[in-house]
Amino acid sequence: MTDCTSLAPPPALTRAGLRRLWLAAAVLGLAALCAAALRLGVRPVGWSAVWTALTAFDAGNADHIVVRHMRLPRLGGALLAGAALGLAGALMQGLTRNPLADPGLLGINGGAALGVALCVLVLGITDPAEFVWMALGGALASSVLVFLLGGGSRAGTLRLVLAGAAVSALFLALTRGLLLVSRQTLEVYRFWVLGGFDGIVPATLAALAPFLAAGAGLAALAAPGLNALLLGEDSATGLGVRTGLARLAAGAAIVLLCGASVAMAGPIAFAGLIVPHLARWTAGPDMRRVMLFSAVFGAQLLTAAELLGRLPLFGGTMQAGVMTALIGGPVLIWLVRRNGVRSL
Amino acid sequence: MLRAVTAAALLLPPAALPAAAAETFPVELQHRYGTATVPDRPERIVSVSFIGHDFLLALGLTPIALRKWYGGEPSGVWPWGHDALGQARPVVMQGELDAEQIAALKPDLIIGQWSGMTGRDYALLSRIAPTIAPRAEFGDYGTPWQAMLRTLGTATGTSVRAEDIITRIEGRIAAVRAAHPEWQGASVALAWAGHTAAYTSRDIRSQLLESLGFRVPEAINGPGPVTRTHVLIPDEDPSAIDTDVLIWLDSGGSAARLARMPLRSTMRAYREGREIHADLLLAGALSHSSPLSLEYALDRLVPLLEAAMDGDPATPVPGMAEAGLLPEGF
Repeated sequence: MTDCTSLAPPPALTRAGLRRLWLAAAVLGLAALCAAALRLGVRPVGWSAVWTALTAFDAGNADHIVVRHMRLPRLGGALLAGAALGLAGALMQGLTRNPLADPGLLGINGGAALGVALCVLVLGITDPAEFVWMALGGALASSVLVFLLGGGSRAGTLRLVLAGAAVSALFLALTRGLLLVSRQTLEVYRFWVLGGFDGIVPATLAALAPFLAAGAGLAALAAPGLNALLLGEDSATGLGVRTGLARLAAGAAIVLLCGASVAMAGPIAFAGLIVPHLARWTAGPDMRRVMLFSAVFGAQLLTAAELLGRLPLFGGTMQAGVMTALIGGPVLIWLVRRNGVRSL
Repeated sequence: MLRAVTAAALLLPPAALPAAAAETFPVELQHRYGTATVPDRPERIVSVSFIGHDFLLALGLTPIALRKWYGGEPSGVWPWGHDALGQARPVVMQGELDAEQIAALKPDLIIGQWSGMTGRDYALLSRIAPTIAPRAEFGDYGTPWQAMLRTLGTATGTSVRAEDIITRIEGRIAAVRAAHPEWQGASVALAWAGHTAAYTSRDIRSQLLESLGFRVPEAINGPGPVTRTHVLIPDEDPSAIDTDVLIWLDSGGSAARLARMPLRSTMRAYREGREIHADLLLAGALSHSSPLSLEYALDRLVPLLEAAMDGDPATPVPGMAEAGLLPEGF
């Protein structure tokens, strides 16, 4: 008989220590993914060329152009959108206490999709760098509508989610109607709806960064209140937490984070759903830690998806949104099989 | 001799034509889903092909309904077809095929060689009226314009006119080809900007360029099914489309994306001024590749090809400056 106790973590390693180890490993993994994302792709670029592209850029060198003007903005987009979606998913699941909650639930993706379709059909703009504002506008408009329908500042969780589902369904139906009318809109939309970072330019990242920063700030503000809310509405109120304010901050953070990421990269499925589960599994129930882990795991997931989609294995042209589902699906199944999905 | 006979036949009204074999009905036409039997000269033709109306108009026929493809024309017919369309305003169909709407029009012929119709679509449509699908060997969107026109000529009793059009346009292409020996064997790529995609030799757009003597390189054609009409070009490696002439097809708004394309400045086609910016109309004309649009496309494309093929950036290709796409320093 072998000694089963030897498989348990050594007693010196406390839960907190284990969590720090996890976080350190996750950050190191993210750094390795970032380096790989700059190094790998359809065009072979060596480490030295990656380094000189970043430190001594030569505008006439094709390798340097690929690293600096193509891989770097895409990596930036994947990191930002991934962290934003992970964070938003954690907030969404914490706010609704529903393990199936997903950022798409609040009508944000539907609004952004309608914005893009209108932009192409009415304004004739087919350039992703230009319709980013219509996508963001649509996302913000639809989420305000969901918020109002959901009962305004006294919004109950269930009512909010129902309003979100209704607005999503309405906006997606309108979008489909527009797509039927215009074949040109369909051509642009069918790439956008897969989600990805192909057409991303640094100016778009810079323009959307303030929205993401504001969203992250509000999320941090909302975290203690959400922790209390996990104990239940009455207990939270009993603890002196202003639950309405915490909800409002969390809701605004979700809208900003999802709105900016959908405007940047299209509606990327799975990241917001699966990442918070991984985060809770490693970080425990505290929302502050769950949010931090979610941001790191989200950035990892999208960076990996973006990188895999660009490898010659997939023709070098697979959209990151497709790869997210391909990676996310098996991970979710693994989590469920390991009973890693914790109730909220 | 043959040409003289054809010309004489064209001068006569159709009723006075001798009963040539091709002009008699019923006619039978083979296609990928079976055989279409047209019992009599059709009067009410519905075109579910995205470019089919152009072919009918060239044959002097006006469909009662057409399928709008893209572009801003409310009639669905692009400028090269306006004269032939005249005051007629066929029903404009958009989006998915609507068998109910087509049935209500009571057609006696449905044409769809460039429609992407599925076997299920065909089963529905062929119960409404004789329906012409593409032939199996051409795939959904690969039927050469000559084959398409010949089939339609047979189906509508206008074979003589179809042959005359083919003779005229092929003659014009042969003359352009003969006048440009330097084009023979030169490489060409037709590509969309943004999510860069290039057309293979199987596509109708590439076929026009190949008929002028150019060839689509193996790097684009590659291995793969013969029905594949286009391939995606990875952004990180555009070498496959760095050809002797690179034609950028603009669906409207692509110029801005092209101007931003990171690796474009490293391409020989860019440095030597071998790029052509086909604006919405020229790209549309190439995409339709119909008897009407080919004439328009040749009018505009030949001077552009001449300017691009000189390989001298000091003589800019017309249209590149307007689109903001000239190489740096010009």
